[in-house]
Amino acid sequence: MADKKFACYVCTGCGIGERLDAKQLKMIAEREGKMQVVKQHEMLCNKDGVQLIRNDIANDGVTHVMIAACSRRAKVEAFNFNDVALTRANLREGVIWARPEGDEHQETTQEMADDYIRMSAAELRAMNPPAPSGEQGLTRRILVVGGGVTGMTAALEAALAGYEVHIVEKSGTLGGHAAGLYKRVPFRAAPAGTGNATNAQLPQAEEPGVDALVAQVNGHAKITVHLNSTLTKTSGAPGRFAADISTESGGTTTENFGAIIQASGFKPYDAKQLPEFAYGRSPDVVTNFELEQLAKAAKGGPLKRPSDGREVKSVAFVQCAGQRSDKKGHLAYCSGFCCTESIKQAIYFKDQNPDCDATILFDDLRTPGAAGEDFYRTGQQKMVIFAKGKVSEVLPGTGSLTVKFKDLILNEDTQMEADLVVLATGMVANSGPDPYALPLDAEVDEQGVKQVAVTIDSILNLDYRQGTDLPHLKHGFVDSHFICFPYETRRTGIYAAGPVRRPMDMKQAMDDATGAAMKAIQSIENASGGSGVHPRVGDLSFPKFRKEGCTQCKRCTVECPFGAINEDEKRYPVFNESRCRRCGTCMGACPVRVISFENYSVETVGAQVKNCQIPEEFEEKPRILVLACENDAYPALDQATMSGQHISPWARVIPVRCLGSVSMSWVTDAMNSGFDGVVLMGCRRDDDYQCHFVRGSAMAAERMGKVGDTLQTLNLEPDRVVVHEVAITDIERAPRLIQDMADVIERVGLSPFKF
Amino acid sequence: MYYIDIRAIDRFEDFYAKVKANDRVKFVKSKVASITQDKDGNPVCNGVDTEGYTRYANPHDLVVLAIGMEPSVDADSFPVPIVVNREGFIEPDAANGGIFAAGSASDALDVNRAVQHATGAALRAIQVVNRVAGAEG
Repeated sequence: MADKKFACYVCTGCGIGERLDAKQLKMIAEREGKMQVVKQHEMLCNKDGVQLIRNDIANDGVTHVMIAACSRRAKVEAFNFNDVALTRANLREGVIWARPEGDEHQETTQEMADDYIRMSAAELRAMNPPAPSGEQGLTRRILVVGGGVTGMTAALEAALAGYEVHIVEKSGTLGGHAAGLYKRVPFRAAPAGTGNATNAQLPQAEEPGVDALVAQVNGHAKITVHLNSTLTKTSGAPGRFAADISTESGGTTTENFGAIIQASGFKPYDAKQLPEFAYGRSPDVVTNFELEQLAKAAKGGPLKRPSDGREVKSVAFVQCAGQRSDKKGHLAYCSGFCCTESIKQAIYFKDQNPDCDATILFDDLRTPGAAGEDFYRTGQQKMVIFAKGKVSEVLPGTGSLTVKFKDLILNEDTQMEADLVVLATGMVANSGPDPYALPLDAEVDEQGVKQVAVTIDSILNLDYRQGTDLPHLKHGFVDSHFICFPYETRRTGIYAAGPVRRPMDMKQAMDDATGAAMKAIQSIENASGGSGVHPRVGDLSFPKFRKEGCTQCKRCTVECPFGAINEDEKRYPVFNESRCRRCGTCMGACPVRVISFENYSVETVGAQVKNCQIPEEFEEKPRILVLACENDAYPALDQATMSGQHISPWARVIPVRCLGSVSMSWVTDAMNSGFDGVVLMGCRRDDDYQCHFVRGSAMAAERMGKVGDTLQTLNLEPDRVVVHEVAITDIERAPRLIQDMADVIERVGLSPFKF
Repeated sequence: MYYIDIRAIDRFEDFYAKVKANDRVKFVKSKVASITQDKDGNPVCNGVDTEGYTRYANPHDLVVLAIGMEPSVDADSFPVPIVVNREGFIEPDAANGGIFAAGSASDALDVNRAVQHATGAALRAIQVVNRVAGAEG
């Protein structure tokens, strides 16, 4: 390895120079921090300041850079030096903004800054400049699993951006469920210039457009379609996936891909679970999916009843059938597409015969956006009846069906007759088996042997340590957070699109497919340069382990939230760099501390803990170590001080990649070296979790559950270590939590471990 | 909460269920007709609860108006002609050439839909850049 050269740049801009003694900071960097180059600049983030650093890297052989200026979250573009090991000592948000002005505070404020210089210098000395491993592949081809509207759109959009795409479709044709549609709900709202008159020209149902999409896909030079095919094995990582594509007839070809889009769509909800609505008992009770077949068969003529072929004169739509319900076998969620779908179908009848009664029985009508609301108006124009009612039962009768419902407006039980009843049933995600499904799902047979109740076919057949398919988050959907990171799944480089990640209509599925294509392309481009993807885009570091020390305990391979680590025959971990999100959960999991990143390790944080100066007991200056998640808690603290709040002068905050990366040794080191309290700040971890790494925060909470024992062996009060869930919006609460620890120390006294 | 339809669409249903389970949150299906002040200066919501058709005049300490969103840019002020719908949101249209709406410029969207939409919009822009770069060699 080339010689290391350490440099520290102290910025005196933004008031740092006025509030702090820069000369002293430089002296500490040089003498205690052993920085070989120490420079001061009045505005380090300007062109001249950045150039100063660049020159030292280029001409003076600087390999390690400490920027003692603002928070690591500020000026990221200016201080983007990818070719060196880089750390930031947070003097602005972390010190001068965090402390009040005035002589009485000067001493403690300067001490804070001094410590951050010491800590960053120690961190820097334990760091190495990250560099890609060289394992990255360069396949820029994209695999799309599923040939429905979502899959076809994703393929076309990626191809239009210049990428080669393969579609693998299980059935013999492209088109998916949409191929069964008679018409589709209009994609647009009324055009500009349309007035608000009740008879204004409003959007009407459209041709589904599936045939045109299929023709585009088949005609595109960059798209290859594999029909009657499934994936029998998928291995590798972003940039170098290898997929075995097997046809029904048994032939298998292996193709290489850079990223995968899973557009496996949905299955219509099984309406047989709705006996109360006479589904299966009367042929004149159909689902919304089946009605499309009736409409298609009618070829523009009057729709006929399945039972006797008579023209339908009255039709009732039962909204939310088997949905938005906590009954067993029902869907807890709303499928989101069925309100506009029923309006469209009601119009099928009204367009044929304005005298046909078409009634939509609903609880809440959900037609969001300008286009949705306009189509609702179209239904009203066509005299579709919208009745707020909750259907309890459908009774087959002679000639017509009786629909019993509670009229929610009149607040009374009532009923209506209809020739045909359409159940607005929902979408069920067509996902593969959940790798993390609890064994509780398995039923025990008479011999006491656990039987898996339902066997679902794998879709991806991943050759991963942690299962064959994308993990489910909730209700069978395979996203990792449907609001914050809509396309991410818990398998890097594999993006879910369309109704497999959340229920959605066709227009949204097409938007979704386009977004997923974008994510797939990002993943390929990042992987090809050895860089991380969301949320650590651009990060070149990746975990390595020291084989001699490894005990093959498998905790890292089991606990990685992204299934990035495989095992070899001897049960040693096999890291797949481009599958890694760089959260460090493996590092936090490792009981023998052999896992590390070049620029983030047990040593880089441990060194910071040990190099904070602990005042003598008589000085009565406690020290609180704060390990704050860099995604939420750390920015919350930055924002707190930006908005004028103060942080306890006793706090020393160290950002961590995820609370899941926290090594128990940092806590024991802190306690042993005389810290009086430790505050761990991670993300929310329950059902409404906000952890960027999904499981990291939960893992940390689990591990830290045992910290009490450690404190007990040291004869320390358990109150001295706390774990908090902090959201990025907790800007008032975050500093208060640190103050709470200061109060605890005030109460229980200083640590006896100050030497 | 006074509402016409609770549009906690798709997976937000879980959130709705959670709030509904809280007995300190009351849902009234009604579009509030007017807000007046009582003698103590409290705002009073007046209207008809359509579930059961009862008239109400409910005093509250605070009333929050759930107002909507409209496009931030007036269609006429675009430097080039652009296809918008009657609400002023930008439609995806070949006539817009290399201009694409992202997020709530395209429709009234919540966070998850805006993120979803914007990710696709970024790709649309990349397609144009790649195509033009390809054509220019």
